[in-house]
Amino acid sequence: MPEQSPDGGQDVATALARDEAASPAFPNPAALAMAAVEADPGRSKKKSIGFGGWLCIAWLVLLLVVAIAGAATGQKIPGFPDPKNDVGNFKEGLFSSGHILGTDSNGQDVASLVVNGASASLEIGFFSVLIGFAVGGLFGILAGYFKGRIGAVLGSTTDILLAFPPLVLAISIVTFLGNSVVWVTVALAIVSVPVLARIARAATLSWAEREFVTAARAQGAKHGRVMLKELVPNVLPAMLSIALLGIAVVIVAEAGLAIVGAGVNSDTITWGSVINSGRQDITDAPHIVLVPSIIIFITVMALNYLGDALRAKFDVRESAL
Amino acid sequence: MRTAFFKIVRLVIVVFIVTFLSFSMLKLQEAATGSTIIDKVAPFGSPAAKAKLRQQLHLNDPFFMQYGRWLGNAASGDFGLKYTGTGDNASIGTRVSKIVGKELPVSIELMIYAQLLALIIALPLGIFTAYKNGSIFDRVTNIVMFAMLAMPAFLAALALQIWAAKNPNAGLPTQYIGVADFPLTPFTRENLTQMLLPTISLAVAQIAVYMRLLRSDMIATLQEDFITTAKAKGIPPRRVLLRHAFRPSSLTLLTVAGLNVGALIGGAIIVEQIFNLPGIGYELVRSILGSQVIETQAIIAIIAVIYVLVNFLVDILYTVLDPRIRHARAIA
Repeated sequence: MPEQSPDGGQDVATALARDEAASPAFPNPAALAMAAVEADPGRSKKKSIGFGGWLCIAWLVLLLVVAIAGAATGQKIPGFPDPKNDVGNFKEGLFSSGHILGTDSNGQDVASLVVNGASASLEIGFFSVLIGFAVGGLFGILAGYFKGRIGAVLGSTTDILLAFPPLVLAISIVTFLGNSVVWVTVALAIVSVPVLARIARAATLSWAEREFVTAARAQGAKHGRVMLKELVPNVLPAMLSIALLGIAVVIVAEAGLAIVGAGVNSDTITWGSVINSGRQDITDAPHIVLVPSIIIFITVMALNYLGDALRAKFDVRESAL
Repeated sequence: MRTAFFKIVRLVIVVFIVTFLSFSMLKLQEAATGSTIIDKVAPFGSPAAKAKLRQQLHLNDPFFMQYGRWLGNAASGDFGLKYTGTGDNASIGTRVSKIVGKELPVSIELMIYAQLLALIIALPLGIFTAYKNGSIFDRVTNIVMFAMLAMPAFLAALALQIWAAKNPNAGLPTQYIGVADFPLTPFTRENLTQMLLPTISLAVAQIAVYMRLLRSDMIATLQEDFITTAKAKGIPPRRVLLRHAFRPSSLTLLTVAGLNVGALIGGAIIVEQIFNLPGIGYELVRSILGSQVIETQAIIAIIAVIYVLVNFLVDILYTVLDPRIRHARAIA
């Protein structure tokens, strides 16, 4: 169980604000995301996640199952037409016979494309945030714990990464290094590292001065042990809710990359690639772009909602009340 | 004074690193993929033209000399060429600075319009919902804003595009219609018609960000003692809201507006792409698709440097506007 702040102070948020005042030249998108999602005092009082929360979880579990199925079968989930090779009539509308979500301009089944594409989109979303979480968390905790030279070096590194607009950085990595699923994941991971590092650092700063940390140090615990046993359990909740938002941001970014032509190559189906391929037929077959876009929209909403609920659950402000 | 000096030193260092990274990406690509810059920009060039190009780009020089020359040229406004010729003419092209000079204003215009629209809608909504906290209107607005926050710019753009195609009577173009004198004069009727849908697409998520932020900030402020005092003195609610409660929140808004520039640039690239708006993001994509690596590199560097400068300005502005920071720094 994470240690609770006795004063019910606004730990991470205030620490972020302090951090911001210390070096506002390099803004912190995470603080922005937090501020924006946090802005719902009415709902956050609730302890349980409620019906809406379970609905979000159900949606994400469904996606997860579909994604695992897609990954296991190489994007050929049985029961759906083969998204690449089964070709029907071109641009069939919604609810046409045999194609509940219609077909695209190559006659491929849109439902099948979206279901199979979930694996790649979620893979990119999950793994890039996972890498960002691990690397950013490590950077952030180290930078927050060792405030001296190590902190300065790690801080400047994240500052430099933040000096590129995220999408532009991702576009350049993908265009210059390659457009396989792995490179797109790496590109989006690099973009998410500084964000998560900033959060981890701010959270660490707010916990590192607490009595229990001093007590652990006084008992002779080594730096590594203090960080692992005292800081990590307290920093994780703040990072987790940002990570959920991060997955949403990355899924959107993948689609954005596909739309600007810097997405995953055509060997792999992603939601972004379906959207991009449908753009030329947007007037006579709008469902091709709308179906995957709306799926992304619902997924982002679910992740935002849960990230919000997660913070409300772990946030010291509410638990102290 | 001292902090100002350090800030400028820091700015210069960051600009150097950012440009260096932009420059080295191209070299990294050469190393990673094995295809040379020449192969990329002039695949159909004759051997003579390729040799000329090699010399023109100083590709035989050491790496750091190339960077230095590139940076020096860029500082004087020369970002190299977008190559358009083939065969013997492969070393001929359009100046990137000329292209960017024409297209950057379109992007800036789009971003300013979107920010203005977002603020015009978000400010009154944020203030009013904070004032009527908990009312039905407040709840409905919150749900709508939660959905808008999750709406990616591309979904808004695509949906608006579909709507415009289905309703030609509205007279809003689904794609940018080329006119000779773009960027169009700001705030003219023609300009606004062309920019309306891209602006709305870009503004949707921003509206939600600003509104939610302002609302929560103002709800907190409205519980402060000085608000109760102001009310007790009999100051009309409107004045309390605007003068006493909104003022401190405006600084938060400014910070967030600054932080938002990165997201705005990303959104603008996508929106320009969807509406074929000839801005710098559109050109970036064109250069990527056409393998014009020199141009891509230049545009990425330009965007990154602009971003760094904007952040620097926001930082300065913030210090000027908030006396507490000025004071705290003077002591420290």
